[in-house]
Amino acid sequence: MPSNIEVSIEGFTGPLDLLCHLVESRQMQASKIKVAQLVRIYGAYLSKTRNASAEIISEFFFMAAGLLLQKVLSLLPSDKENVSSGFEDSDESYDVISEEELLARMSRFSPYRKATSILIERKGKQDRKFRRISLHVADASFPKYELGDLYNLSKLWWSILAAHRNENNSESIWDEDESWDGVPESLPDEARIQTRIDEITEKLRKYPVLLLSSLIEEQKLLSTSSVSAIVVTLLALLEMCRMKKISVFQEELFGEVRINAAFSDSIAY
Amino acid sequence: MAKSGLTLLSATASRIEAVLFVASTQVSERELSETLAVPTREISAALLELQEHLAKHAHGIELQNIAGAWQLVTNPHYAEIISLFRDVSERQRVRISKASVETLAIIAYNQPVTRSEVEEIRSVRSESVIETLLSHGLIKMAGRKKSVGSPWLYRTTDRFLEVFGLASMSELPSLEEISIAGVSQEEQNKEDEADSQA
Repeated sequence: MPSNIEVSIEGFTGPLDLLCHLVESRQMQASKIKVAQLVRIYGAYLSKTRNASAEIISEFFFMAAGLLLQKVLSLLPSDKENVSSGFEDSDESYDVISEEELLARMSRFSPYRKATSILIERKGKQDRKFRRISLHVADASFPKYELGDLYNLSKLWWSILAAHRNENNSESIWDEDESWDGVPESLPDEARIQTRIDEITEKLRKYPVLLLSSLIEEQKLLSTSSVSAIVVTLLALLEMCRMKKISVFQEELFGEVRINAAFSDSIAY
Repeated sequence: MAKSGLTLLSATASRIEAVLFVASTQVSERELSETLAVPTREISAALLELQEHLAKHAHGIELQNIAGAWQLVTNPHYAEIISLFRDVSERQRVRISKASVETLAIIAYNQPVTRSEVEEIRSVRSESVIETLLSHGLIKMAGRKKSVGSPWLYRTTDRFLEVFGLASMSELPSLEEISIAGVSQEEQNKEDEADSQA
């Protein structure tokens, strides 16, 4: 069901059906929803899960069309008598601003528009004046930060950290395609976890002790979606712990995690 | 003093000119005072003398007060020539969209101000514009507002004054002055229209 998926778009993070409900009940402005982004996320989600029936897709289309209709209505001038939303609660009034409100907003914004013109004019004049260029790195070309300007400092810090990571670990196991931003990870099904349990059991028959890092590295090499593969491995290990097939040890903080076959009988069945 | 029709600069003004010539960033009056070991009042007078001197004798450079400090800049009459020289103009040009200037104007006249207050005036979402202005150093975060959600407050920076060639915010007309000027302009336009019809 599409309503089960969590979407993360600008201004909202949560289940899709909640988003639709908020928009339909006017608790959230439809004009602020980026429907195209939503469709992209859901399309990517379907392609990841590879489990989309016509019913699921049609239900999503129904929700997306509802959002789109609400968005169009919110952008059009108010005409409550003639407009029909297509939803059951179509007799509700729409959150479309009145003419008076529009004029008030324009009047409030008017001086700022003139101030904008003044600033643009000033910038035009200032752009015609040039100053000495500093060749010293620590002087003018290096960005300066005022005390308390944590935003720029943290931004710089994260960019340096990211650059450092890219240099040292260009094939990080957490590397994912940027186009998957905001796309929820599909939940691994039981069959995949069972397959992984069988694989780990098979390994434990050959080697009495396994290292968690080697299991993850192995998945990284085999799978295209490393994060999903790691989740499957961890779930498989948890399940095996629950079934008392393995015991897990970590001798020191941040140390290597060792997986032992807990009961040789259960492994050697 | 006059010599061959040219006004000579005072010793302090000449020394200030020399210091500003080597400075790649703005220099405050206090720094000049400390460097030249001259009282601030004398520095202020010498700066005005130098500014007037450069303007009067059509020099290729002029003295400008930016964000409360002083810097030698090129004469705007020679902008076209400078733009042909190496990549000077490209290195100094700051490109800002109209939406960004609009947002800057709202922040400048209402600072410190929250994003939602900016959006209230603009009637459109301004998240990405504010992000852009932050990344260009034209605005900065200035604490949080003591209200529901403790939203961030934003202020303009000295970089803003630099880009728009302002010594301080007081150089900009107030919103009231802008409104009155706007009304007067509209009345003038109406009169002109009536005259042309007559």
